Amino acid sequence: MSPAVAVRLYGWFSVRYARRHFWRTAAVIVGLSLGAGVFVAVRLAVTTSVRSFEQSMDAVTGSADFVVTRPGGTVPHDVIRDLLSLPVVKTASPVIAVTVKAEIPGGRSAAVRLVGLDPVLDRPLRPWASRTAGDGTDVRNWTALMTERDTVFAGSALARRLGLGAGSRLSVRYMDHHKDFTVLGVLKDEGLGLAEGGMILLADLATAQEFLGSFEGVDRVEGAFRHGGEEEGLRALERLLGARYAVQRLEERKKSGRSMVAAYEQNLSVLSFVSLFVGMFLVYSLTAFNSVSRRREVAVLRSLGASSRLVFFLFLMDGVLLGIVGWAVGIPVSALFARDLLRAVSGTVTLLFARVDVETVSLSPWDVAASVVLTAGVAALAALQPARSLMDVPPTEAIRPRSTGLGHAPTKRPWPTKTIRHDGPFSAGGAGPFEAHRLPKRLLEVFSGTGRLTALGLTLLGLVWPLSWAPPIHGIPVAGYAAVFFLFCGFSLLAPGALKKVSALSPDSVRLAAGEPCVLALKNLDKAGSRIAVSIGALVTAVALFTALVVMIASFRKTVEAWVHQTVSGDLFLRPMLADLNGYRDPLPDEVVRYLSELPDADVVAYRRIAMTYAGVECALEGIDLDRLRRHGGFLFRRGDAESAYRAMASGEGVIVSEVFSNRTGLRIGDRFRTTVHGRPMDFAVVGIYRDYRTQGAVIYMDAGVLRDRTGDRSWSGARVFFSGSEDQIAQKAQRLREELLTRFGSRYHLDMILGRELRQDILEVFDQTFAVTTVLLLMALLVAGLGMMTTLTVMVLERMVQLNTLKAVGASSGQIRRMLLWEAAFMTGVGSLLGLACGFVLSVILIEVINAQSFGWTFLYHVAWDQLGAALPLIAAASLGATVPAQRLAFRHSPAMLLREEAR
Amino acid sequence: MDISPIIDAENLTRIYRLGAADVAGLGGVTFRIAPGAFVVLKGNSGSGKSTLLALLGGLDRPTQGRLCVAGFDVFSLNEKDLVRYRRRVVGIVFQSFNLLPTLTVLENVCLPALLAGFPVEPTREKALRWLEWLGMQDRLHHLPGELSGGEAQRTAIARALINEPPVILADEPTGNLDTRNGQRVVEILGTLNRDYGRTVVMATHATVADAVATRQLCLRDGLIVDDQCLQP
Repeated sequence: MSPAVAVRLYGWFSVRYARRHFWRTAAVIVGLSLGAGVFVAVRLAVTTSVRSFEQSMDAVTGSADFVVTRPGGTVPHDVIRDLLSLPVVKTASPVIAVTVKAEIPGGRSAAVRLVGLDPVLDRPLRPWASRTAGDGTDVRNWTALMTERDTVFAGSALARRLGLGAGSRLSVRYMDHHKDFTVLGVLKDEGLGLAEGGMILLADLATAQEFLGSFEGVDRVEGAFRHGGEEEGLRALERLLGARYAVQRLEERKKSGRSMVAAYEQNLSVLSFVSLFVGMFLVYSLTAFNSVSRRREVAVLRSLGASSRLVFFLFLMDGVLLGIVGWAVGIPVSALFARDLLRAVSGTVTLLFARVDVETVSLSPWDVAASVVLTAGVAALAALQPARSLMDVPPTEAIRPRSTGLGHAPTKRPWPTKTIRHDGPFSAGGAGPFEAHRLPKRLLEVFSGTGRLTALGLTLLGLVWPLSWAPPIHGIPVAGYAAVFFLFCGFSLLAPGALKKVSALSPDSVRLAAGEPCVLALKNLDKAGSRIAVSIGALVTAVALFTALVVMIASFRKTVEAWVHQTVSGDLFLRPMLADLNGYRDPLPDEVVRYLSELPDADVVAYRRIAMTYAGVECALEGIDLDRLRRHGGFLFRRGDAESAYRAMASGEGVIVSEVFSNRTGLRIGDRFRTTVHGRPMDFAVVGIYRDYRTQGAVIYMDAGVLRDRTGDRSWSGARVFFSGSEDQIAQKAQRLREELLTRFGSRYHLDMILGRELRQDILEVFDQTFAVTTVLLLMALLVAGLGMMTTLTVMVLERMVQLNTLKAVGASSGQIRRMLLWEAAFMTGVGSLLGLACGFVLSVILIEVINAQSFGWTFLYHVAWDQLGAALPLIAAASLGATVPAQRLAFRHSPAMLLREEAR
Repeated sequence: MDISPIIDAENLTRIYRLGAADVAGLGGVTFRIAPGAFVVLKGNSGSGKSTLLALLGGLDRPTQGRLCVAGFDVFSLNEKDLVRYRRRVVGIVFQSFNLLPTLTVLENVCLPALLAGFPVEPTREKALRWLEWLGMQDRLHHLPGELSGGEAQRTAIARALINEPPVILADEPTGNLDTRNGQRVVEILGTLNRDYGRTVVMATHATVADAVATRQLCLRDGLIVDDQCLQP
């Protein structure tokens, strides 16, 4: 048969059928489009944000091979000269980078990155250019940065936000520094212009140094080696600089940043894929429904000469077309979600990794193609089994329908049993007695269909634990995701076996407790077979996801609450303006430190924080006044004994590291932490691992006194102030101190100050925001699973119309039939919910201990929100039972007379 | 002495709406059947045999007419009484057997009694007696898919008898059987009629039941065209 004829047949046979049963088909398309829409929207948001992040990273590093820093201090200018003298070094560019506040007349302002560099030395590393003005006016080229005083180029996003153009005036503040600059032009969206999402000001190095009053050195020196000279170059740098400076390959930093974002991207993409995955059950249900209701037509088609391959094609195409149409309808659906998702995702990326500023979504043709293929592929996969089953419909069913109940058992007779002599006229007669041989029942069960499914399910579940602990591949927990997939499949495959166990209850006991309809329901479910695994699989998946996320969110929140109250203790926090964004490069001014040290009624815990890179991981070393801190709180330890850790820190023997730092670098208790601060070598034992959920969560803590003694650095990066009294008194004192500091120092230093109560509240809000995206995905999964359950039950009724009418004919009342259907739904829902709950608990452990740890470096204290589960699960059960209504209506659509009428044809 | 008929039908009419057309399944038939009769309904496909059986079985409602079976005015029954009627007054044997595939032979036979609320043990004993009588004692725990046609039909007969209904309705019970098994089924129905006093109404287009039947009603195009006693 030619493809054209096959397509025409598809139109006659399938498309017209779908048109006739429009609402049924539309319901599935709506469900699939929701799943496809969410999937596409998440991909849009994630790829746009991640692309922006990667562009920013590449823009900042350019073609630089290495970066030299001096943790705790600046890199002096003579180092640049020494680097340039090395033959293997092609160029070395000094850089100052600080986040400042930029303001225009009229009050509009923005936090932007001010980058000061030497335009000549930096040119080979990072291309950048300014835009040509539309009216043809001469736009200054980059040399103007060096020749004209107090000038900057603005990134395009900043220019748009503040309405800047060539000649605009801009006021820039940082700490006690303030200057007005003239904008020479707007950077093109390429090279350095893409850094920080375009929220950047580019200045000459001297201009930046003058603004900051920092002439001794620069934040870092980035450079490139001559072609092929990387290994030799790194060795030369180490010889030249010794241990006083930190040298890092920029490729390592890029890889580390990329893998973190990739892990986040994978997390979201996999979760969004679940919405598509659950939609697959919907397609399966519809195709199964159609395959049952059209069985006679298929038999007629076969009797007229259609091949079984054609039948397969017709029903498989249903799945493919449903997928394509679902995707097409999903695109406008995704537009509804895309903007909000983009804001949420880019906000999270900015919060957790690096700034991205995205105004418009971007989706490559590959993403579009991938989403179509994926949606259609998933739908085709769902239609595979029903299509396959229809290939076996014999043409004889065209003349004799399948209502006899005969012909569907194995053609072999069962093993013979002993005959019993009797007197009735209708004895079997003739057969003499002989021995009965029966295989043990248990052995038969193992090799039966249900036994095979259970064995397969258990095998998959057995693989979950070892897979979940396999290490990530390039930072992506591939084995973890495989473990999750096996987990869902494994539990779903246990469903037929679980139902079989339930149906093995003594019929007499069941009859006594719940009546004959319940007995009939159990009989029906006992023989339901593998199809039930797919049907209940949707419910298992939805309940498991819900349970796992409820546990994960509750665990996270509980842990963060404990962390916030123990570790983020303090009534007033203060630090230099934008200190966090600037890696605490500048300490608190001396007069502020003096004032705080002399506060009469307060306990001030000072800390010194030094940004650095360790084994490719950006982190911070923090010296804190441990004695005072312990009076008001402490650390939430994950590993190690708190008391002995504190003793080791106080004596200068040890440091504690955050869980994030430990997971990212592999440093464990007992390992040595070695680094250089202010050119002085540091070597400590790791004596504890604590939980830290700050954005820059990779932190190493030591005692502030030890740090001072080892480095001579007596400055403060910030301080926490503690008051005594009732809660209200404390709040008032903190507020008064804040006002006092503003009055004394506000006009000069622009300190960042926040009340402890507000900070703790803000932290919890940030974590709630991070999980907002996953909540939406969960609701989608529940909705689609509910629709799937409804269609499943309807299919089961349709398949058994003859039996249901026979029941009526032999005396079953409508109520008994309804109760039978309700019991079937109740058992399926019960088994599905229990399996889903168990699956959800296992999934929550994997999410918390494995995937989350590998993706973000965090784990939580395990906590189950029984109240939330207790409230939600009955609702899920009620919704599933509500799904029986269409099935019950269908059961009573025809009168039992159809049993006779069919025979009469 | 005039014996009250066990089935009394007057002007039974059933019109089906097929698309835009009305088709008369039954065009207004009137007849009476005495208790203990064995009546064969004869006629070609579309003559109205199955329609009449469906009305007698309480599976369908007429467009017009009156029907009394064993004292029940069938068409004035509410839903609850109709269910009682199906359980206690009639037992139906179908051409395609219509055994429930997930129940064993014994369970299929017990089903109507259990639905009616009868206790389990007496029901099981009664089922075993009937099945033994029908030669099915070796197949008690087999599923319908494991039975031959003859065995399945005998199981269906036992099911129809479990609640001791006075009237047995059989719709082409030999239609899916070979000659030997078909003959056996007719003999069973004949024995039920002769020795157990059941009134049997059997639809067929063959002559297989002529030897045991006491009366023949011939239908054509929804009307009775012939009504004759076959045995004195």
